[in-house]
Amino acid sequence: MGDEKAASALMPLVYDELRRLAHAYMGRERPGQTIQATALVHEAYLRLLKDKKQAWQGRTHFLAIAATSMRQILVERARARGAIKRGGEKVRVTLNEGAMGDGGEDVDVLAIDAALTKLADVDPQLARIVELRFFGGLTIGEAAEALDISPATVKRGWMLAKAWLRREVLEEEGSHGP
Amino acid sequence: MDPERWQRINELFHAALEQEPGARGAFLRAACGDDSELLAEVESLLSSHSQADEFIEVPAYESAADLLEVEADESLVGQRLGPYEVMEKIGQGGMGVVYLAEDTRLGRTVAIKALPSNLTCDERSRERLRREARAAATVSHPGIATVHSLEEVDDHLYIVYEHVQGPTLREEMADGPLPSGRLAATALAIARAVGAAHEQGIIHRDLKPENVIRTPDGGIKVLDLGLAAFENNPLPTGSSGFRLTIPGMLLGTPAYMSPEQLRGEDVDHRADIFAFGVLVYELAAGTHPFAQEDPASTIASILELEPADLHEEVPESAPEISRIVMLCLRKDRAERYERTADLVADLEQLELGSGEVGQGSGPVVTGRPEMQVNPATAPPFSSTPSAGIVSPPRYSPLWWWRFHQIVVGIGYYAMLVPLWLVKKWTEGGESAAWGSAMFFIALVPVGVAGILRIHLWFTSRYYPTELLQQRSRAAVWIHSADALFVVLLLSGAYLIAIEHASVATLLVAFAIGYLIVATMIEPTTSRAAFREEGGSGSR
Repeated sequence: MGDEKAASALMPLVYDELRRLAHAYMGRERPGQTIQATALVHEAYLRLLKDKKQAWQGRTHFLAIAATSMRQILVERARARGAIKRGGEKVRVTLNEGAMGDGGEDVDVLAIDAALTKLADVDPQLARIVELRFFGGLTIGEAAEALDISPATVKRGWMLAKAWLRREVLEEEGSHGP
Repeated sequence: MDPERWQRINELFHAALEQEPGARGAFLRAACGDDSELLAEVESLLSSHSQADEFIEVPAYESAADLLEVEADESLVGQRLGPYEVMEKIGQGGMGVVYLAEDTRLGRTVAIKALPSNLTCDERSRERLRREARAAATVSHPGIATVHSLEEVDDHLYIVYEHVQGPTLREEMADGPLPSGRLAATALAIARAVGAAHEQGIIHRDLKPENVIRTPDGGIKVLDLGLAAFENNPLPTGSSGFRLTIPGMLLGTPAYMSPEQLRGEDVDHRADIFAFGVLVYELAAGTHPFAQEDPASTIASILELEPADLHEEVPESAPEISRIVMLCLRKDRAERYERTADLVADLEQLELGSGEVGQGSGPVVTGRPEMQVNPATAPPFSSTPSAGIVSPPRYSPLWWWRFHQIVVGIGYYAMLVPLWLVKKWTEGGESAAWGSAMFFIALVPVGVAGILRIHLWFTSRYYPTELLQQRSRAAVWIHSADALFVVLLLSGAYLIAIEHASVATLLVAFAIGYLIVATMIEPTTSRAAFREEGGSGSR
């Protein structure tokens, strides 16, 4: 069995575990209280990510798997939300120069996800780097460890991938825009 | 795109970036020659790069954090679903919300499992719920929560379960590890319930302390077949085919998952056996055998680390249960119990008091069940043929049963002495023929019953797997011999009643003693040793 399959099998577990963590952070659930588990996945994940003391060598591997999971969660939620807000219409890309210069505010997860899928056809390793960095929040060093390549390679790949993706997203916006 | 071309683009992109910004145009034109397409591609990427400083630098879960917020979950509390009044929410998982409801027609409380509001219309989730209902309905066992019905009212699809009251084993564990007697009984009850599901080809896949309820009568009920799979119709774990378990959905609890489940391989009932091992270990030790500080390390630990031996971890735990649990926790499922029935048998054996618990048919070294025969550890009543010496713990029911066989067996021979006296005392008298006939007739039951009892004792010690069959074969002979022997003792007493009243009294006393032993004591001892009541417990 390849690593890919292993990773995809682990994904639900990771998601589940993140949710479980999230629940744990909430403390005892009171009746009638809104369940914010998915929101807390976020917090759980951040904790996991920031816990640098972890001596466990598989931590990076776990985070790498969690990155794919996080991508899936975000995309699913973005899709669900889009479907609710726009009555099922195709979600319009709302990425623009201003937003990008603004520290990624208004990032369109769906657009990036779609572009990333295309990038994977061109260069799977670059796509994986983006997944780890953007969806997984891994540093250059962590991504290098997860992919078993040098940090310099990750850095160069990251630069090219960003340029490629940004262009792709803008092109898509152009072709679907008003 | 052609990989070579992409490689070229990649190289040129980075090479150009190393040039001074002013020199890049000339550098690229020289490098691309007359390949204007290549030039345009690299230039467009460079242009994009120059504006991409901040692009996706902030991780998505921060820049799009609002996506992770959840809308308020619409609760069914207070609503009426068909004849059911929903009273309160009693549980929530990723794939279902459980409510306490009142069945207004039958006037009883039930548990209703519905989909969370965001999944109410999701066909995949609906199918999963239907499948849970079918799985749970397939298994009819007192240890598994009963399904009353599966209902569809408007958009709502829900399962109506019996309402099981009581704390979960997780809650019970909060008071500390279970004492060993209670532990063994609990483990056996869970194993039987899970075994019943396995017999129907259903794998639970989410066995954990939260899913087992301690019922008011001290029994257990296994809940939540929400992840159950039909073994003859396994879920594909590859990417092809329609999957009810899509990534991103709750699927089992990692801490109770077997290594093969964690690796994403197809699971079978032995995954439940692993989870069972984790569960019982936790009940016994109060700690999870693979617990680490964080979930990631726990997963790694399940995959890689051998858990501390239960008996070493908790010295007061019985070594036998430790062996059963450690066998369940083997990383390679081929080394676990092959059949849940073997696990049940070993636990029954433990309950029954025999100290030795074996491997069922789980191989240890060779990976092939038939190769692994360990006579010294084979269980007395497991399906594995064996010829080993088995010593039950002192004063256990089986020990008493053996003690009984030996004492009674020797008792017969001892009684030949007074009967010999009867023969001697009646010699020369008018009842001489009677006295001597009685003695010689007595040799028959003494021979038959005495030898058979010693044979049973011998079988239970050296060929335990044969014992049950031998017992049933010997039973009628032993009973007949007992009856004849009692008659002879009473007749002997009658013949010498006048001259030797004290010996006659002794004979009568022994006859009554034998009657009591045969009709009351022996059945009780056997029942205790072989759990014959109710039929289901015997093997």
